[in-house]
Parts: sequence; structure tokens; C-alpha cells
Amino acid sequence: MDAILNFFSSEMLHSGIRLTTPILLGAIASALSSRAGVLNLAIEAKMLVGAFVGLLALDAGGSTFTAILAAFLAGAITGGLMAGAHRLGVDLIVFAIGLNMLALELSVYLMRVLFGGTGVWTPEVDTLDDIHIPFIESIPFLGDLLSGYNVLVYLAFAAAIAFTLFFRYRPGRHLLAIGEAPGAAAAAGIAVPRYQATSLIVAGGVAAVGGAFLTVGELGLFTRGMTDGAGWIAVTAALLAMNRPGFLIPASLLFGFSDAFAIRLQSTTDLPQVVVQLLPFLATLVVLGIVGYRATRAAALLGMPKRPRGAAKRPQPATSTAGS
Amino acid sequence: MHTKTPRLIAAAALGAGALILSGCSGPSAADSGSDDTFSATLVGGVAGDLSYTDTTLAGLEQAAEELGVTTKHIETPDAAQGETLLRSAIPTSPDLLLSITLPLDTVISIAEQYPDQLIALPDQGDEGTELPDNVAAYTINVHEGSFLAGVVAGAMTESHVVGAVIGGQAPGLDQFALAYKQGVLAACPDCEVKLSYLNFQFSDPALGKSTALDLHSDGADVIFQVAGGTGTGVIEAAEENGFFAIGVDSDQDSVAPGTVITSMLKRVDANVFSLIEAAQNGDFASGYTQVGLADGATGLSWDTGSTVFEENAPAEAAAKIPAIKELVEDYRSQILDGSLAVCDALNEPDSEACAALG
Repeated sequence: MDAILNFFSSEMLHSGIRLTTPILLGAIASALSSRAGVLNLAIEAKMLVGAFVGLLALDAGGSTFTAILAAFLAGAITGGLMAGAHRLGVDLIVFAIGLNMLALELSVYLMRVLFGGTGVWTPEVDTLDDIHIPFIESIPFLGDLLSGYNVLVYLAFAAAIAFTLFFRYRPGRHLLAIGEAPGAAAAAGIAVPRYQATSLIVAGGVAAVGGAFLTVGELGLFTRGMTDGAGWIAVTAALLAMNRPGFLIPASLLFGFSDAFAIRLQSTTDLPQVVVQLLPFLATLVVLGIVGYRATRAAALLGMPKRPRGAAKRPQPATSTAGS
Repeated sequence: MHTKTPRLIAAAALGAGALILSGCSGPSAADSGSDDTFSATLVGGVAGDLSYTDTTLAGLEQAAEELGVTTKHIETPDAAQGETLLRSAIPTSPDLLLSITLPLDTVISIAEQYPDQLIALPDQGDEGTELPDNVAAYTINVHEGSFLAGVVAGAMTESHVVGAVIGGQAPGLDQFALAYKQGVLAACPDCEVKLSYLNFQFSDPALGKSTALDLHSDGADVIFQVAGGTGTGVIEAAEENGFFAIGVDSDQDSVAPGTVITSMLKRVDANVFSLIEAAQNGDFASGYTQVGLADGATGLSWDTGSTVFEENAPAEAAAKIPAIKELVEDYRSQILDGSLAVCDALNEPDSEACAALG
């Protein structure tokens, strides 16, 4: 029991939640785009844009709020570029790869031109303050898990929940319809291009806030390619969640905590290093296996409603033999 | 007649343009080929990493200033482009081509293809591969310098827990880590050394910060970073939470004054300089050259006169420094006269010194 408590130290929980936040915001952006019927692979670019512009605005004397707003707008513009390209019939996968490369090199170029020939830019700025929630903070385990993060962490989780609720309303339903069958949606009178463009723009902004979390929220510095693949992990997390809003948080937590676990396992156990680094990937594989199994089961039902338990046994010998 | 004038002007402009263009490319092409000014081109790394590449560039700059050499740096942000960029540098025929961060077999295959092109590797581990006659490599053994960094950490810690964030588990990185551990235990036998390895993530400061904070939550109050760009997050975490860090590769004392106690230097710059100097004097010696503490190729930023920490640190921490410096000098002389064997996890992982560290 002591070992378990030692393992789930408050720092471990904090690390995990902090590492989850940019992934979660990116995953929301990715899922939103996917639901609009667009595979958005430029999450990484938008995060970098947000990271850079956010710090730029903060350094230029803006408050942390304006910095985050600036990051959101910059990401939204990048998303707008994608929407425009989509309207023109450009292959968005190629376009996204181009954007990713552009954002990586342009941020480095601008950093060098504007702030001298360096690869790390550390302006004198104050990052976001941590919020300590009174009362909850003093609860042993929950306090560590829930309290003491900056506002963007709470915003990310709130956004994920809001995204879940969004599908209960008319625009959300329309978006679902567009993602499933754009032709049918258009025939039903839904403005497909407008929904897609709005989704891409909002997704760009949300992903950029994920990038701004790194610079404005956490580090107060910018380095070349500092998102280090977080955008790609976000796309993976969204795929793992099958773009279902309700699964985004657990899928992002899995990736965010995998690094935190790896860090913590080394401090508390004598497991060989290679095994420790392997565990997160193993966990991903297992989850993917479960998801894949469920997907085949779902396919076997062919969209028919599930039969009540017990009733399944009687007729249809074909399915039961296939099952066993 | 009137209509012809603009055409003439256009033709003249075109001709002049062509002259200017050829004037631009002409001398520089001739320059690098001629023997008037010695030229050296470095391929590899990304400028501004505050670490490895910057050290290398410092050596290149020094050579340009002191030896009057024409220098050029071609960055390779994407390791996959390295070979292409190295090949593209050869037609400009620099007198000496320097390469960092590229795999050795790539360099060898290019060197064999162009036997007249001298290629120097200022930082290349000796993997026992035979080098062609036109390739010279310096191997920097960092274990002795890392040991001294460990001594500093062991003498500095109040909590008797010290940490290190290492970019990944590989013999080359363990050469830093294990010697550091040995150094800590030499200065502070009852200290606990926590080594935290990453999964070869060298440009993720957020991960570096999280890892450092995790070590700090277990009591570590001095953390050595061996993780390139990820390490900037380690230093950031230390600065924010009031514990100490030790820099790596280049002098990082000024990255966070008063937080970075010292930096474990890997003097690639010195190797770059001596390789260029030798080639310029016609003394290019192919094969491997091993350098270490005795050659000044590794050591602490204090050796080069850095006093950033003493001037900016809290008084009680700064007050410890003179005694620690003496201790470091004491160990240095023991290493240099051979009475103290430091674990070299890269070249002799089975030695007694390494076995004692587990």
C-alpha cells in the first residue's frame, strides 16, 4: 500500500495532468475536424503556431489572457487557411504536411530574425498562476489530482466536456450528419461547406491554445519544435477515442500519463529501463486491441440494435458458431 | 531607331545582370578552391541549441577569427537530410569538411567516394571501425568531467538526494550518468543518486520540466541534465522551484544565473579548432584521437573562469563554492595522476569502477 501511495505521488499526478493538457486540446481539435469529415493532420503546426504567437504576445506586454487569445486567433487563422484550401479542393493531407513543415521552420526563422541568432528564446515573462481550489485542495488524493493547475488545464477539460454536450444540440447533430454522410447532409439542407470551415477554424484555435499551454502556461520559453510530436499524439488519441467526445479525456490521459508513469516507475522500482519505456506502448497496444475487438463486434451486429441477453442464445446458429 | 533604344538598354541591363551574377558566384567558387584562404565547412546540428551545436560553432568561429579561415555552417534539422547535405557540400570543395551528428558509416561511404576530400569528425565515438585515409576523428571521453560535476552536486546537496535527467539509455549517455553518480558518491557517500532516463526525447522541454519536478518531489535538490533541448526544461524547473541544476556540453551557467551551479563541458570547440589548425598546416592526421580531461576536452565551466553562479546565487549557496572548488581540484589531480579510476561506461563498461556502481 505504501508503495502504491509512493508511486501515485502528488508530483506524478500533476505531471500526468500537465502532460495530458496539450494532448487533450489537440485531440479535441482533431476529433472536431474528423466529425466534420476532414482528416486534420496539421494539429502539430497549429500547436507550434499557438506556442510561438502566445509567447510573442506575452512578451510584447500583453496579459496572459490576451496572449492566449492571440494564440487562439493565430491558430484559427491557420485553420482558416486549411478551410480555404479545402474549399479550393486542395488535398488536405498534403496541405497539412506542408503546414507542419512551414510552422516548424517559420517559427525558428522568426525567432532568429526577431530575437537574435538563437534556438532557445527565454523572454522575461510571468507564466500563468496555478489555481488552488479551497477545500478540495485539502482532500488527500483528490486534492492533488484536482487542484493546483493553471487555468488552461481546467479549460481543456471543460472544453472536452462541452464538446460532449455539443452533440446533444442541433449544430452538433448537423455536424455528426456531415461527418457520416456529407451528401445526405447536403440533401437535407445542411450548409456542409460552412460547417466544415467553421469546424476547421475552431479546431485550429483550440489546438493553438494547446500549444500556448506549453509556452504561456508552463515554460515561458520557446525552443525549436518544442511540441515534439504532441500534435501527432493528439491525432492518435482522437483516433483511439474513435472521435467520440466522451472517450477523448481517457484516451488523452493514457498518453499524458504514460510519460509520467515512465518517469515515476524509474524512481520507485528497479525495473530495467527498456521495460519501463516499453510499458506505455504496451498499454496503448492493449487498448487498441480492445477498441479493435469492440469495433468488429459492432460490425458483426451490422448496426442492428443489440438483442436482449438470453434471447441471443436461441436462434441464429451461424453467429454463435462464429463467436465461439 | 527610337524603338531600338529600349531593347539596347534591356540587353545592356541583361548583360550587366549576368556580369553581376557571375561576379557573385565566381569569386566565392574560386575562393574555396584556391589556397589563399583556407576554408572549412561544418555540416550538422542546429544552431542555437545552447548546447552541442553551439559549442561546435564556437570552435568554428574561433578558427575564423584566429586562423583567418573562411567558415560555413550547414544545418541539418532533420537527421534524414544529413547525408544529402554533406554530399551537397563537397562540390563547393572546402579544404576541410567537418561533420557532426551524422552516422559514421554514412560519412565513411562518402569519404570513400571522394578520397581527395578531407573530412574531420570533431566528436565521434570510437566504434572500432577502420577510417579511410581522408577521415580524422576525435573521441571525447566525458566521464572524467562528469565525475567532477558529480563531486559538485554531492558537495552542494542539502537533502542528500541528487538527480540526473538523461536523454536516453545508451553507452554514450551512460558515460555521463554513471561517472556523475560515482562523483556524487565520492563527495557524499550517504547520498542517494536518482537517474531518470527519457526515451531519446531531446527537444521536449515540457517533459524535461516534469521529470525534474518529479525528481525534486523525491527530495533531489541538485539535478544534472544530459538531455539537449529537453534539458532547458530541467533548468527552468530548477529556477522556478528554487533548486539547482548542472548544465551540459556548453557553458549554460548564464541560462539561469544563480540556478545553474556549473556546466559539464564537452569541448567540441577545442577539437574543431585543432582539427582546422592541423589541416591548415598540412598536418592532417587520419584515424582516431582520444581526448579527455587531461587534454582539456572535458571539464567544468569553472575551468574557463565562469563565476556566474557565485555572483547570482543566494549567499549561503555561494559561500560553499570556494570549498567545493578546492575539492574538485583535489579530485582532478587524483584523476590526472591515475590514482583514481573513473567509470567509463562507453569504452570499459565492465571495469571495476563501473561494476561498483551497479
